[in-house]
Amino acid sequence: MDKKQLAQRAISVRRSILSMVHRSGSSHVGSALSAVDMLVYLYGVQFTENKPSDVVYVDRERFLLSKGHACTAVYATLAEFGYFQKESLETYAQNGSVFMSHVSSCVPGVEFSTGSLGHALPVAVGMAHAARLAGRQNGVHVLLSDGELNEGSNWEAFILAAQLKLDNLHVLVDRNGLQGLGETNSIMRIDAIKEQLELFGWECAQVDGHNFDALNHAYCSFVKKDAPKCIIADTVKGKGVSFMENSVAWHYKSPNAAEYGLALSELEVLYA
Amino acid sequence: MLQSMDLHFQNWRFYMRNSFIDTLTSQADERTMLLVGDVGYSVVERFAERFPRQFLNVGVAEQVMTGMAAGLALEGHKVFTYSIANFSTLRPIEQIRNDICYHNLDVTIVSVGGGFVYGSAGYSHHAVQDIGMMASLPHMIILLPANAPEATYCMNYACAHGGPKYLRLGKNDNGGTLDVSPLSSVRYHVGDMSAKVAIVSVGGILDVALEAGALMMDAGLASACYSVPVIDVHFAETIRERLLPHKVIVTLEESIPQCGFGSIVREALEGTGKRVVTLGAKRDNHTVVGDQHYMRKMHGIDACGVVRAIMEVCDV
Repeated sequence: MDKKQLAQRAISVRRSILSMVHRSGSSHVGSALSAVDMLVYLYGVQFTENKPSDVVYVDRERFLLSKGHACTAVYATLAEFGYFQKESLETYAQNGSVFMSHVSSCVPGVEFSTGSLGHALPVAVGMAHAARLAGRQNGVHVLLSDGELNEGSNWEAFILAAQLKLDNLHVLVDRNGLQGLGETNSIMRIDAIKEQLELFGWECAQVDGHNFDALNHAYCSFVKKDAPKCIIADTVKGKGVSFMENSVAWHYKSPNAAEYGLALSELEVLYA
Repeated sequence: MLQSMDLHFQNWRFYMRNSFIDTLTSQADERTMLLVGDVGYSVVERFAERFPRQFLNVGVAEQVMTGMAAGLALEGHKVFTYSIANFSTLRPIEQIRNDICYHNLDVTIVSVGGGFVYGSAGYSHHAVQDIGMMASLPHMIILLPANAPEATYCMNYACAHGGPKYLRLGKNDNGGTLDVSPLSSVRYHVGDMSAKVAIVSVGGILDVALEAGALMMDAGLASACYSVPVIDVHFAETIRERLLPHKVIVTLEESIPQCGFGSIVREALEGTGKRVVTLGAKRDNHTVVGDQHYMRKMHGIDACGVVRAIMEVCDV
């Protein structure tokens, strides 16, 4: 899938996200928009062998969303790549729906449910270790938020993954610099995620998380045998909608009809 | 020297944790995984040496141990996590709830030292909330052996059943080890099966139940004694049927009954008209320590305390 196609998909995914949060009046639109380009890159480039019609296909690349509140981005991406009909997204966060507002494995294509932060990486360590034991070549990919690095369980998992030499484990840190009550660096400052993980034995790259070429370059440049991989992706919370960008408020707010219309019109020129 | 080695050999057979590791080692297949949180010296080695690729000491890190167990189980492994009872349950309770139980995965949380086994170690090491916590989680099956044979029975159950399970082992405590009554999920041990009073216990404290039953017999009050090694989906039905002849049901556990075995039995027997008395650890009693026997006495769940409580109820 070329860059233009990826950009089209990313716009379409953002459109679905806005529709879901507007319709349901739910939160976390900024967190979802921040992660869209990484997800589209993964499904459009890295996961092309995966089969939407067979979600338990044994050699599939595994993906886990640790920042479960950004689930609209995953649901919309899965719909975009044919895992289910886009119309299903209309039930998002409605009574009786499996489309919970924290990512749920009741939705086809979702490997694992999360919602409480700091859970997916330890699970991914288990999945990557299992792949090793079985002699399978598949990778396990986890998307974490930077605010989520406050959670100690992630650091247990970072250390253990290096100890187990899980070079089939890929972490993407969605480094948008904001969390629940403000700037990540003003709450629990971690200046040098890349250097910290490299000290543990990880192989890392820091790139623009909205640039498909940069993400691809990072994925392709990893060479170290036995080292787990981490991409620290510099991103913008609310990316693509000017009034949502870099705003803590849009961690909580849901767009009203006027804001929704305005946001959609901005998307048209995002990758122009 | 020979005598002490002999004793050691005999004890080895009687310890629940050895039944656990022996059964695990003999029943393991290529799917079996054992994760430990830097605990298990002189216990886990047999499995680790026989199945080095299927054993992992994750370090002092119960959250990643439990999350990793979920990841392995998602990929088809049958996983056992092992640590001291408070560490394997309280610290990673959210991983047990969200990662294992919510996804209904084949993981057995194994606790060593349930209750007051590590009595003198202090409150940090007392596991008295674990049964209730585990019983409230979706799909969870609770395995509460009283002694080595029951531990083997529970392990056979764990090996044969999928889904989340909690296996609570003692350490050196062994209830009713000389007993040869048939093993079952609700197990009759001794006494009058038509007596008014039944004492129903879980875990190594079965010894106290048996002693209390004998003391009551001396005082002219008959009772029957049961242990409950397995609490699964059939529990309510089974216990209603097995306890049918008894009018007063006294539950005994080395944990807090308000969020433990006592409350599970009370709920199961609701509407049967039976009087249910729940004996166990006191929630707020945690400022001094002592060995397991001392702690039981302090919490009123030694044999004398149990008899006293029953006599009060029976108005003797």
